Amino acid sequence: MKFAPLTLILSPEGRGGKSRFPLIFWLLIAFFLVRSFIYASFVPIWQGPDEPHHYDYIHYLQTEKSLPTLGKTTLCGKVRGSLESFYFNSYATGKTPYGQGGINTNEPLVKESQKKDHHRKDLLQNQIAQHPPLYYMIGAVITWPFKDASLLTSIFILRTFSAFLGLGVLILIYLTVRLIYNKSQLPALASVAFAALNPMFAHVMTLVNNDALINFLFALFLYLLTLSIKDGLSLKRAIALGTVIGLGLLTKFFFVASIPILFLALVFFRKEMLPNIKMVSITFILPIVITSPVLIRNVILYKTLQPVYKFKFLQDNPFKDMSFVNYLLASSFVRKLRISFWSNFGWVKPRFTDPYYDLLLILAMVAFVGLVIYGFKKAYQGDFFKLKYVTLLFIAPLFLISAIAYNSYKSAVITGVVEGVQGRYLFSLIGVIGLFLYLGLKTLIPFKQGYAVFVLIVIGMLALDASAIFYYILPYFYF
Amino acid sequence: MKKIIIFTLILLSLVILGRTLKVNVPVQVSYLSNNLLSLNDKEYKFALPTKKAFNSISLRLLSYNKPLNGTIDIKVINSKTGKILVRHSLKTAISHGDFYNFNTLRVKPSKNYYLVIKGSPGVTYNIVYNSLGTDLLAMSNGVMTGSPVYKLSDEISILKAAFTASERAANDWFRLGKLYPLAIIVYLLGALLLVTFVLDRRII
Repeated sequence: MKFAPLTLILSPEGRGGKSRFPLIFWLLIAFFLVRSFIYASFVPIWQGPDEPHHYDYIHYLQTEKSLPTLGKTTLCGKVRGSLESFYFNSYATGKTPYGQGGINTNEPLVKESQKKDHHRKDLLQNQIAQHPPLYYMIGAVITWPFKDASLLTSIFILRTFSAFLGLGVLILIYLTVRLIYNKSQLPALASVAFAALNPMFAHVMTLVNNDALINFLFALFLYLLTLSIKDGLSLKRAIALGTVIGLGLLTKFFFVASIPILFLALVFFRKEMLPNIKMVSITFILPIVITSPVLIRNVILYKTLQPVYKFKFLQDNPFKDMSFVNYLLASSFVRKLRISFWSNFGWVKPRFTDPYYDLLLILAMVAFVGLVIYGFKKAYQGDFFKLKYVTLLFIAPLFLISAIAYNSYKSAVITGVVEGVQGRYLFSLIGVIGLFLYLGLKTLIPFKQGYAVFVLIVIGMLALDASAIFYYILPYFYF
Repeated sequence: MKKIIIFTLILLSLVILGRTLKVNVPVQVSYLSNNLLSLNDKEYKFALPTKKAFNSISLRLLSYNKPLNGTIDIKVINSKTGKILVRHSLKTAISHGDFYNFNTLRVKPSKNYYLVIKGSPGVTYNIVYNSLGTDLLAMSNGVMTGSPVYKLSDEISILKAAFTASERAANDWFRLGKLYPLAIIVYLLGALLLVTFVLDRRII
């Protein structure tokens, strides 16, 4: 019996040209899974952003069988009892447990605290109780069989679930980009590589946090949108798009950012998407129907569609009379956004040191110049379909950044604190950002029809990831 | 053949890099604190027995984000030989509450070291310490016990750091045993495989 080489077996040609995915794609997927294991298992529990609160929401659904209320729901005994034993604050203050005579994640203590497991009469409020319930309901279902097991078991299951959502994001990025860039695999593979090897993306997609589901649903939304742009908005697609937007809004209010993107797509691609106004109506009405129970509850309970938790109020508020533009220039907004996009591998730390951000900023600026030239080239070539598509995708992250900035500004004017600035919110569009990086750099470095840039992205992201793991994450959490 | 050469070269580079690239990690720390000591025209001597070599010292000073108004001299002295092993002066302001870190030549471990921290007249900073500790030997106006808040760090290879972390994680967090070091090895080999493949364009 003769065996074909592995490369041939796994390549699309080797499988009769029917498969959509080349070998390198599977390698990236497999490597993402290995990395996910490292990120999920080495980062101690509770060290993700608000991870105790996100878990507490799930636990609340399991024990109280109702939705939590912002301002009233407090962290349960199980979570409270574990904060100290899992060194929640110690890491944040730079006092790693290994410097204090070793670690002691004594599970029986955590189990013991389940006995006094109530969500009342405590000062520690659940500050994310305002989020819609979809992610937490799924979390409650998948950890239900283990609800009497150790807390560590539940957390690991939830983190693994997030990793599989990350896997879904990678597949959707590939499929989405291939719909538009179908002559070469490189744009799709470069976009996947950027996400699959991105250290902060791996961190966010291996935590107990509703961001994991939001990123997956946003990737699904972009795939369905691109499909509708390319092949028209059929009834099935209209229902699918409307359902995904509805589910996104049931996960996090932030998903509302998809609506102006959809609206812009309808304007840009009206020929392809607007033959039947009924389809469009379905796409907009379905999300309202799906989310209405939560929105009605919010209005009744909080007198607003979406309440926001205010962490603290400064008496001497430096942003009180500041304009939006001045806020962006004078506050630490831009720096915080940049840092938290590339690295924030724990609740507070570790983060890369400054030269990393400077280098990445230069790279992003070069790619931006290349992208502008790419746009002009497409206009010159008369390829208006791609030009419109890239413009639409370019507006999407700009819109997200503006929304994050404005939300942060409004909050700072009231509280005096720069909050809610999280670069990780842009991971909903990580495939788009990866695609822009590739297109921009490829325009300036066109060697080997873009293959050189693809290699640069793979090796560059690998170096960044290895730095994150070996220089920041492991030394920070284990020494 | 080309692939095998690339793989071998990268594997070799990985082993060499893993051994030669270093990361700074704490080797001895004293975190507990319950009091402050003013450094204004004062000198404190703390016993500093060390079990591991170190090449940087971090001290927790409270600056209140004010100017220093003088100099803080820090020394490590071998009490047996009287030899000064580390000599460093802080002359500029630092952020409040941060660990103030400075590098030293690599100092071998010994039971006989003591740390001297001396503030010149007018210095506004305080040192954070634990009065229940047992390390304080003497101060300008008498002897009492106590330990400062400090960190001694040393450079170790990134591979050593990774496998030590794996060992610790295996016994602590999710208790997945040998999967931790295995994940590190698979990660390194996976990265190697990925680079080897992308450098061979035929795979696309």
